[in-house]
Amino acid sequence: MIDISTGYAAMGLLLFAMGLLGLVLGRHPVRKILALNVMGTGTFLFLVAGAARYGLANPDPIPHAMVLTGIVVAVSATALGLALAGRIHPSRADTDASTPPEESGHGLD
Amino acid sequence: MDAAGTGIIDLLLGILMVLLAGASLLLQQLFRSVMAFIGLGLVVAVAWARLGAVDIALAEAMIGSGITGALLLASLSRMARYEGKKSVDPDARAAGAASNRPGNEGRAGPKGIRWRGVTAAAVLVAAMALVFENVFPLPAPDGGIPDLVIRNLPASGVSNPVTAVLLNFRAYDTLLEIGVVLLAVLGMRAVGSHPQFDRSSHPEVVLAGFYRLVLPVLILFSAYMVWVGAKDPGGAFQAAALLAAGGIIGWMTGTNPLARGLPDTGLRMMVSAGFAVFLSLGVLFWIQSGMFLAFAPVTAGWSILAIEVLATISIALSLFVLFLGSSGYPPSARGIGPVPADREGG
Repeated sequence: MIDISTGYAAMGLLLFAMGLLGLVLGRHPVRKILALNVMGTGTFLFLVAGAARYGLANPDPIPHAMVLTGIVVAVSATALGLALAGRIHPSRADTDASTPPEESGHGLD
Repeated sequence: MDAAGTGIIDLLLGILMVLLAGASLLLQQLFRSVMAFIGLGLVVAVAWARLGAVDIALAEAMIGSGITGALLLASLSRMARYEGKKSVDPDARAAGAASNRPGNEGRAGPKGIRWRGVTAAAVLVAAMALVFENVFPLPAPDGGIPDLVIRNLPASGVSNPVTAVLLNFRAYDTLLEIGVVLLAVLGMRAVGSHPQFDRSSHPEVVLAGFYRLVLPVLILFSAYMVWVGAKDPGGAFQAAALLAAGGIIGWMTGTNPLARGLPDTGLRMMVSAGFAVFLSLGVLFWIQSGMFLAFAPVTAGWSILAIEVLATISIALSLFVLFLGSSGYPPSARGIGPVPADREGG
């Protein structure tokens, strides 16, 4: 049987990796922001899993406090990111340079 | 209690997490992705509780899942609204057709992207395995930092170790964090928000009734959260999230809770009050004891309570203003929110 803290740490790493992939490969800015949040969730999970190594009754409070801080910072960053995304959206900047020409070329016809 | 093993519930939580994270990254419709993300937040909140982190479980469910979800949905609906309006003119429709429905990504690109994805995934999995190999399982050092926290708890002014770390032992982090929230509000203000948006003028009758019932409960509960944070899970952030949620529900019913009775300067002051008071108390103790943010044990409890109350109000208002910014709602004459479109001339 896997130790609970080890199990959730692995889970956190997995979520982080999935989020990072989404961040790199996603094209819509909202998707990227979502992916960033998934990465954050993974990081938090990893930290709290580390805190649980001291036992579940008396976990390390410092990672807990850091994660609480992180959650609030993440929501602020998300809000600002969404505002920026909304700002660039009307100019069709949401489809970045990697957009295949057949998808962005219609305006020229 | 020694580190427990994983049980069936952890396995289920893990599977759910991977499925929901995958869904939030892969689903074509962003609306569904956001829904999956909200679900992920709730599942993770249960995981926090499993890991003995009740403070974080509360914060995750309220802020990480609830408020973040509201922000994302508001932003999506604004983009959809914009594209809906835009598609009236033919040029824009042509451009819009290229990227299919509002709020949706274009189809995943051809093979290039997929190969890049596979390669990136392989590299990442290897990197993560390496991290895992090296970091876990680290033996828990004997006592170490948790012991240090517990030993100094009586001097911190509170008895919840997490609150003690947040607002006393590592108060610097929290001060900067409140600063980040303030910065986000300022950034939102600087970025402004663009399309003037005609909010539905037909508030839901049932929702309005619910709002009237639930608002006092939210206020009461958030006051309780601040108070109880000193000894049990709870605190300023959770309390602020509750208040902000009240504001968002109010917004959904068609009333802007900020539109009444609060002058703009007052709002600005309240948004920055938490940071200002935190900073000035820190400086005060600096003068007193020669160390920045070193609370004197005698007055630490009251200092922390004062900071928490003001931080709650500031963060709640900030979260709400950030939500308004994401939804593009122009809070007429409310200087702090996003600038109405007609005023910014765009």
